[in-house]
Amino acid sequence: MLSDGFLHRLDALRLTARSPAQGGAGGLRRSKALGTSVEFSDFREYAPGDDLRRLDWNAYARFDRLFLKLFMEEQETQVNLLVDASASMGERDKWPFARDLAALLAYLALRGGDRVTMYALGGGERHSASLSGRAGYMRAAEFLDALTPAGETRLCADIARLPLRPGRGISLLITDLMSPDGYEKALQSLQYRRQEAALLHVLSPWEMNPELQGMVRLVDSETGEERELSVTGSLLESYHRALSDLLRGAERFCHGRGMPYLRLTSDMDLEKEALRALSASGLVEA
Amino acid sequence: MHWLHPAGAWALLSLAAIAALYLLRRRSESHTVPSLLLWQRAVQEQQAMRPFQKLKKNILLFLQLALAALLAVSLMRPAVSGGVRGETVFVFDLSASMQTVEDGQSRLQEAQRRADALIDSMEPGDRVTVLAAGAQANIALSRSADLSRARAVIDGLRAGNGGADLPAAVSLAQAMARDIDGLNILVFSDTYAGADAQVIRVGQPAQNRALLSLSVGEGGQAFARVANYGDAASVTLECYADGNLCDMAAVEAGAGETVSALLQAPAGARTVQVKIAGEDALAADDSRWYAARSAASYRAVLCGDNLFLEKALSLRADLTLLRASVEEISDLTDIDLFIFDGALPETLPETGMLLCVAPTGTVLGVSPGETASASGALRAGAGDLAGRLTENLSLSDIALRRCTPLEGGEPVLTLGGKTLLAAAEADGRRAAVLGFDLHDSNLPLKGDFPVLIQNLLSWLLPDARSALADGVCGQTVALPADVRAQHARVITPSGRTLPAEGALEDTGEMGVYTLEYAYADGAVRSLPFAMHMDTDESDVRQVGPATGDVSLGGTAPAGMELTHWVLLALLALLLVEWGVSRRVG
Repeated sequence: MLSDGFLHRLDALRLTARSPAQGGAGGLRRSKALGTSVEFSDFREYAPGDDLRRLDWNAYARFDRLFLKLFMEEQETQVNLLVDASASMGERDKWPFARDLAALLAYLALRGGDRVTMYALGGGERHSASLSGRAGYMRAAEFLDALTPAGETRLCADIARLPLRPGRGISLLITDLMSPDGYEKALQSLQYRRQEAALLHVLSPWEMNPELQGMVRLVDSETGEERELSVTGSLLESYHRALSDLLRGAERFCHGRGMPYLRLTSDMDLEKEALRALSASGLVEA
Repeated sequence: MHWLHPAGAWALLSLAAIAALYLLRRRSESHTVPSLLLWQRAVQEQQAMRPFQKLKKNILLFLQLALAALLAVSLMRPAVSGGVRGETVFVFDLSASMQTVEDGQSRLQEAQRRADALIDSMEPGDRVTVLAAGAQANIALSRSADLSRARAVIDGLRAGNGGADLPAAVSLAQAMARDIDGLNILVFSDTYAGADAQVIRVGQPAQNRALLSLSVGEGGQAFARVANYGDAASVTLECYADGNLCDMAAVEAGAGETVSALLQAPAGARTVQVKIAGEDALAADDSRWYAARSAASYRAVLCGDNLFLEKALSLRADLTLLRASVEEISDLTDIDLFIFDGALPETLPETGMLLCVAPTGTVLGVSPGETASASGALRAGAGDLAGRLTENLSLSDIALRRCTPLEGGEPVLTLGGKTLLAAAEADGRRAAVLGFDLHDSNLPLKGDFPVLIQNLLSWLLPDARSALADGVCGQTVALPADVRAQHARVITPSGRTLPAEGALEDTGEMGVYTLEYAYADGAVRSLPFAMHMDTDESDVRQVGPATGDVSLGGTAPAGMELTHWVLLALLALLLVEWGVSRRVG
């Protein structure tokens, strides 16, 4: 899936969380709670019963008063990777790209000490166990490897039924948005469930610019529905308008709700272009 | 409206071809796509514009069908004819240039079609006269109210290989017009430029090559001259000897140039034909023939001992001269000419020509008178024959001691109003009678004497070989008489047999004719000669102006060809189609 060299390069990166972790087990991500990490937070005067190991002796020497150094509590964050594994993702080389992208994000999350659960959408809900630690990456990879794109996408219905862990978390949705019931309610549902949602929109170059002309019979990969079309320049213009409406609508919806929106095409080089796009969108940081 | 080239309708098949292509194009190819979601939205948008889109979807098909239809119509050369009313004379140019083929039809065929269209526009009671202007102008149909017959007569006209006497035909029509009020005269021609009739021009400028001449030497060397009435080209000539290809030559001929070519035929070939290989607008002038003619030989018998006569007679190469006494001539046969110096036999020979010097009796109605002394100068007679027989004679310083004036016959030489040389012709026999003894004159010592004898021999025994020359189709050919022949006939190139009666008028066919003389002993002598297309008709690069569109009693008899308008519409439609195809993709 991802080469060892690439994984090694990913060690310098981490998944970005815009709000502190809350309620998780001890981890590497800052939380609102104060704790025992190495990251300094504040001073306060000593009160009897405080841990003497946290006294700032330099402050005592300077002010002749006892101050206690306070450090941030580092907690883990729940990262949910929602991967659209419907039949539409299996067309035009989208699936290998989406699968590797999910693996990349899982690695970054696990490498950052977060807990990861992977959900496959379409063709019946499937999800992995809650994964953590580096060892969790292997299980994540196995889960992704075992997936075969099939079935129909119903983003709203599928996501509404997902058994997400309660509490705050990060939910990254990888999909082509080819969902008859739309995507808006699905993303709203994630936000309602206190998830920092992000949309990674994966399309194939063919979908961006279909090379069709004349009389064609189009077969829907998910439903098997067929449609005879006379593809003319005019029809292609209408297609591009529909695609543009979809892309701009998704982008506008995500930005309106403070969600990162990232448009990726399956011909991108994951190690360079896709990673650069992830960094530029703020989803990944050094 | 009528069609000048109905065969162009075949192009309408392209409509079916285009429709078939569209039907074949409708076989759709199957593509699996991730989702039909976006396509359905695109189709919905299209359907929102359906009334326009439906038209747009098929507009290319309609435009292409319209283009093909217009192309077919333009190939059919549509024309509107104004028609003619009343009585009309159709004058047809049947010259060789009307055989020029353009767009698969000859100029005459185009003329016939246009004339047919005019006849179709005529009403019952209208009369038609058809004048065919070939080498001579002929009335093919006179004032007929039977329009279907008029069409048949017009359709039956064929262009000849010679020129056309159009002025004579138009004069004939104008003579009719003097008696018939409102007579329309329509001349269908490619070159006629007379202002005395309405000319319906047929034909377009075309390129042609023509063989202008061909001569063959005794060694078989054929010398041909080729005129190139067109763009510069390489002209290939083929030489056939007695029907077999024997040589080829290619010559470069610039535009409008006349070039020569030398080909080699076997010596002794009876017929040599040179042809221009390939096709051009006018095929009739692409061949030329040479027919070798063997010399005829005559037998003459001289009765009497006259050295002057003997010497003068021997100058004629094709004459075999025998000497005999008057008594011996009855034993001789196949004698073409009897020469009597003085005494005549008791009975003149029944056949053969006669040359009598100071005869003692009457010869073909010419009888000698009383012998008398002579004085004065000899003079030529007044008639044409006298002029011909005294051609190149000075008749000066000729002295006579005595003479015997002649009675009867046509005077050829006279002295003081009395005939001293008479020519007579009766029952196919000719006689020349001299009214003085050569020994009583200094004439034999003069240069005029052999000239006079040769002139007399030319009349008495014409050289058939030189008298018969190759000619141009349509011209009347004078056929030389063979005094010994019992029958003569002409065989045309197509094998028709015509009687040889002095002149041959039916010379429309091109090729080698054969004049055959049949003799009493069963022998046959053939004298071939060739008739060619009139090369004055070969230059078909230009056609004359048309005047047929001029209004004639409110009608335009020639009508107007609409092809250029159709082509303009086709061009405009092509631009529209190009624009639409770019927009539709």
